[in-house]
Amino acid sequence: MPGAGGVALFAVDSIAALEGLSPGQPLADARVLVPDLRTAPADPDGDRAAMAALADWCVRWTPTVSLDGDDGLLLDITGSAHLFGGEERLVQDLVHRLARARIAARASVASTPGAAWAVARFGTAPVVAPESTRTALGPLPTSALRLPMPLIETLHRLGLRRIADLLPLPRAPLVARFGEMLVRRLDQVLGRADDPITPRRPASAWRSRMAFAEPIARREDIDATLRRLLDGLCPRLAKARRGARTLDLLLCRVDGTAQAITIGTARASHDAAHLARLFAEKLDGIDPGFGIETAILEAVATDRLDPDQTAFEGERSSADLAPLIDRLRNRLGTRSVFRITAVDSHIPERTVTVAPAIGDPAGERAWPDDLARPIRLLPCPEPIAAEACRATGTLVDFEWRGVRHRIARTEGPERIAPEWWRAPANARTRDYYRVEDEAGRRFWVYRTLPRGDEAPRWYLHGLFA
Amino acid sequence: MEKPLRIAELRRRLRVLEGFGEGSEGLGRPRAGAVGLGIPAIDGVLPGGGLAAGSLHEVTGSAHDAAAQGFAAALLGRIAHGEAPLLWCRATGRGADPGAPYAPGLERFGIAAARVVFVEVRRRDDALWAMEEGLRASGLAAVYGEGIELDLTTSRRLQLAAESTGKTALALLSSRRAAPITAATTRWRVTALPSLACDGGPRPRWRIELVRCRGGNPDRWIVEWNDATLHFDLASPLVDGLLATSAG
Repeated sequence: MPGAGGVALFAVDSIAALEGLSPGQPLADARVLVPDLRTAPADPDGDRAAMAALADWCVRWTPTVSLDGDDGLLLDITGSAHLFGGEERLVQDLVHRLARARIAARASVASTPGAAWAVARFGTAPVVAPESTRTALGPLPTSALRLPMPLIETLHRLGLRRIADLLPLPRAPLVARFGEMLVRRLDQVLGRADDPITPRRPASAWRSRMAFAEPIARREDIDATLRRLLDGLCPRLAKARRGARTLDLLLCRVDGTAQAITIGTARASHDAAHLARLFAEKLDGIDPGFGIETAILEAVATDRLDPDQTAFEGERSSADLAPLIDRLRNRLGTRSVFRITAVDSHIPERTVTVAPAIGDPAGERAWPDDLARPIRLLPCPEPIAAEACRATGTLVDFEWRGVRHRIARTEGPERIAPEWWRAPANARTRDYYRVEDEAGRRFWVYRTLPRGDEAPRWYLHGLFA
Repeated sequence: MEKPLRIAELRRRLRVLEGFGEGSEGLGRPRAGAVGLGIPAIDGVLPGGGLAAGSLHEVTGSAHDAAAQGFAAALLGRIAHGEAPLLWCRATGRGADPGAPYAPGLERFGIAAARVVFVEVRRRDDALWAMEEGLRASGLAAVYGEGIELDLTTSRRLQLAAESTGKTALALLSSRRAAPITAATTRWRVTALPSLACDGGPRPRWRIELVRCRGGNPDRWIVEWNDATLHFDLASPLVDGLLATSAG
């Protein structure tokens, strides 16, 4: 890591620490101490991404996993430890699997996040029973309380080096002397104050999970796994009259990373075949690495879905269409698939708006059918080099996109004024003409009504068939 | 077998294979659900009496006007006249944007915007993919694609997808000098023509050429679109002849 004093160490592993190296040390000094030191450039962004992937992978033990600083993970294993044979076995399993993925880790279980944080970093016990929290924390240094560095230095100067030194002290003087933070941290490690964990992924009741004794890697196996997960989840959703709107599939690899695939549906669904097809598109991008050991399917968002919602004629057709629209949206993006509905406005480009492909069309508004409207509308009116008749003000010829058009027929004008309640200052009243050139091509052009001594300008806005 | 006889026999078999022949089982049946233009002179030329359902049709025209677009929209409106929704796939791609379909204008071709699901993508391949998905899915009346290009392979995929569900696919292509051979059942070329004065304002008027037609012969006509009653009118033969010679 380049710093003020040249390249310095960013992090060291346990062996290097034994050799007397520490983060922040200039690289040159380190090389003197350990001539055969192996280094790699620091990559904080990569570290964070790897940590996030590791957090996703830890979802195999509990859905509530949160990132803790740059180098820690907090797992809320309340209610899930028994699935792994108790807390002790769970910690063993975790450290063992991490070691197999060549990740050095320390872990401990305690009754509060603060206590677990302290014991994992400064203690030795893998599991701290709730009643022995005080005794386990007592010998740990005050830096195990997640306090800012200046505060720890102050405590050290006063001889308060261990948590045990702080515990018997009365609260009020502590707050007065060191601020409210110290007491809050103490309360948090002892479980007297809340210390919420913000999970990386919100936990959902709609989960199904499969772990494999032998890691799987073949695409067919992944497909089959997905089908079994869906077969596990979908009947439960159906029974609860709910359908998935967003589904996450989490594939935990042997090497300690996880890959997540998310699909969305336009209309809640618990149709396993349909959902499987939506995933199939995205499973192509999955890299199983050396194998996948756990797969977790979770309905992150669900909606109420009553059975056989096909009472009305129109309803049925949109229900039939939902699978297709889901497939289109999942591959092409949600914004690429839409419907168009009418808006109450007389400005041509504002009379249409985009609506979701499935759902109630907003209102029953319609466009007036007595006005000539083009079949194509340019996204923005394009200025045209036009020549108008002096006497009548109508168009004689114009050039658009490099082609000259001589006008043979003109209809109009149709005057369209800007909407005064929202028009920008430069909006002008437009006089629209429907013109036809000598070849029979039909266009929709308009002239702006000049304000003051501006010259009128011509624009092409649409094409008639 | 004599040579002309053999050729006649081969022709007959080809027609059967293409699905237009008579007297054979399965393939030989004229396709059900062909949709005509409503003009006997044109429908009589088309095998099955109209645009065959379950197949791909192409409309080509200049990118500098919307004549081909209008004809395609009119066909689409006739094909999908029921309640079922339409899939409208559009690749915006490179080059000058010819403008987005304008819903109030589409209504004059018998297409109610409420029934259309639009797919708008940048890449042509994505639009083709969406068309194929739409053709294979249930619940749609027809699938329309624009801003795309077709070659033999892609058109065959669409044709097969259309055959598998009996839906009609309509593709709007910009006309090129050397148009590639495709698997489409018909290909139309549309050119804008000056409109004639008539009651209720001038109507869209086009020269439509049936450039390619599987099981039929090329031909050309001049038609007008009546956007009040939503049907085609054949222009008078005299005017047709005059303009055809002057333009050709």
